Amino acid sequence: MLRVENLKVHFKTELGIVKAVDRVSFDLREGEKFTLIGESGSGKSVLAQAILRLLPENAIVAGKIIFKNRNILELSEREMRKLRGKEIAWIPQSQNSLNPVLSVGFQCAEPLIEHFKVSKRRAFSRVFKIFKFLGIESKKAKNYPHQFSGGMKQRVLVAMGLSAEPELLIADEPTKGLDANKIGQIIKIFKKINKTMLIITHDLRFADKLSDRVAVMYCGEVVEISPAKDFFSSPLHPYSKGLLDSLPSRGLKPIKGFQPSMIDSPKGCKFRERCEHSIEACKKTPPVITLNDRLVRCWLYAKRREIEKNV
Amino acid sequence: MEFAQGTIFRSKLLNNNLCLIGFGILAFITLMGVLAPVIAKNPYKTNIAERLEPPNLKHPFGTDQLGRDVYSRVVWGVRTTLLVALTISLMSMSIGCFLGAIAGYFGGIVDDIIGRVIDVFLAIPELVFNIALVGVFCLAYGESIWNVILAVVITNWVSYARIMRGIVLSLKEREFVLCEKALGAGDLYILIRHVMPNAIGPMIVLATLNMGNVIMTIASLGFLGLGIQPPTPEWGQMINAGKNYITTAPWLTFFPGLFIAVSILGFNLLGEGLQEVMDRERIVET
Repeated sequence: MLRVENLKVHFKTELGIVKAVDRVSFDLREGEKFTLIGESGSGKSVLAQAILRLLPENAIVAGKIIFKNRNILELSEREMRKLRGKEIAWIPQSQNSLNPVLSVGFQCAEPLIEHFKVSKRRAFSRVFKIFKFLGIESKKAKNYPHQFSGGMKQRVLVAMGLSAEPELLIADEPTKGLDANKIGQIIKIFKKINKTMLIITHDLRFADKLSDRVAVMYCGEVVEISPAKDFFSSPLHPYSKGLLDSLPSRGLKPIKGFQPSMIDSPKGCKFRERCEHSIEACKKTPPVITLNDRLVRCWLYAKRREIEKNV
Repeated sequence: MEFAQGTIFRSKLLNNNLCLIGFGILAFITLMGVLAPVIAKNPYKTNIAERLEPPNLKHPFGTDQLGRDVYSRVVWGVRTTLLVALTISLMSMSIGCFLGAIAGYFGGIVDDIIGRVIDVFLAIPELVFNIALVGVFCLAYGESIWNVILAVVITNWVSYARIMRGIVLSLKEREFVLCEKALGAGDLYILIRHVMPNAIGPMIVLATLNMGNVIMTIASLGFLGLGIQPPTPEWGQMINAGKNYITTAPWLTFFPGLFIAVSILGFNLLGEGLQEVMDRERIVET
């Protein structure tokens, strides 16, 4: 449904070129919940914004983003506007994304009025349906964002994203700033939503409970893509292993070192300097290796012959 | 809970003394203007036999050099001043807000052009510019009340534009703008429907405080003989006519002057009060 091919997003800054997203490829299948996992600053949100072309002007984007046989990067701004919200909707990560001076009901009805030119009343009756689905009382529709708690705002944002019936929903850190209880509610809600979803999170337990497939991002690169079940039982990439081991339930073992700067990240495998298994070959860019339905960008899984060729 | 915001705002307004006093003064003055036909006599009627009479029971504010009742002229003057000032404020607010918002939101060359125009207007002393403009308009189109209105609007929109630009500049970086874009809204729609409503508060404060300045300018132009022309009652022009008699008949200048001062005070108090209530940082140096 959505295919990202060799996507690069670079930012020109005074200090040099920031490679926020580097050579990322993945595809989303109809109806699945695909989760991008990664620590802060690994380029997850930039990737999401690149898909909707919401990046600031100093971003250099290369590669292909194919959505329903169209390359999003080649669409005109007009076509883009028709696509945003109606075909691909974005649930922003900050709860400040609601306009403080407009009622939440109106803000949810807006995409409908804009995209389908329906009357205000019809738009609102649809919004009430979505509100009911998400467990928000209809009478709250005329309230303003400051009258809502964080969890409620998050639900309103989900309602906004859902209102124009998009085919793909991109949720950018939907659990940010919510407590465990509210995260549980969001998981329930997301499970009920029967749409293709791209979820971006750094909350591993959230990803575990929700996703069909998982992609791990490290330093702008996707290092592993696996079905969620396999990922959480047997991660392939050393970084994925490190991530899971750092969970409290699995020993609370931190990964040593820090994520390298995106301006002059190490050549070859970017995780090399923090990796326990690094070998001589890791100084060269690792290949993407396919193992059944899993992908991993790591020399450890390459055939001996290939490694020797590169050393 | 339902209308919490409105209720809190109202109670804050009612508990703010500045607001109340300012509003009281303005309500009183406006009421005088509205009721002018009832509470005042004909402001144009001359009576040479009763010229330059000091305040008495028949003429509470005395009479002028043509024997016209100063009280009636001052009261009718409320209408002139307030209507002209309101027109000027509304016009310059719409022009200023629009241009400022566009400059702030779109940036780039649009911002450069509007920004430089604002700078040029700010560089010229306002009153001098007004005088020049009124003079030019008078020569070009003849005497009319619109000369004054247009001249003041031309200098006055700048302050709205400058402040609106600043507000929009910070508002457009807020997350909800990005969120709206992600939902497929266009730039103009976002600007008008989402960004500008967030700027209404400071704009109302600015407009209120600005009304005082506008009244002052109208009166100044009137005093210089460039404003609203006699015999239409207007405070500045009344002071101008009375200044020759200031030693023998001070009431000719005192009462119009008092009304100018009090109405400006009213707007400034209300503006300051609103600013406090709206809990925003000071946007205008007064």
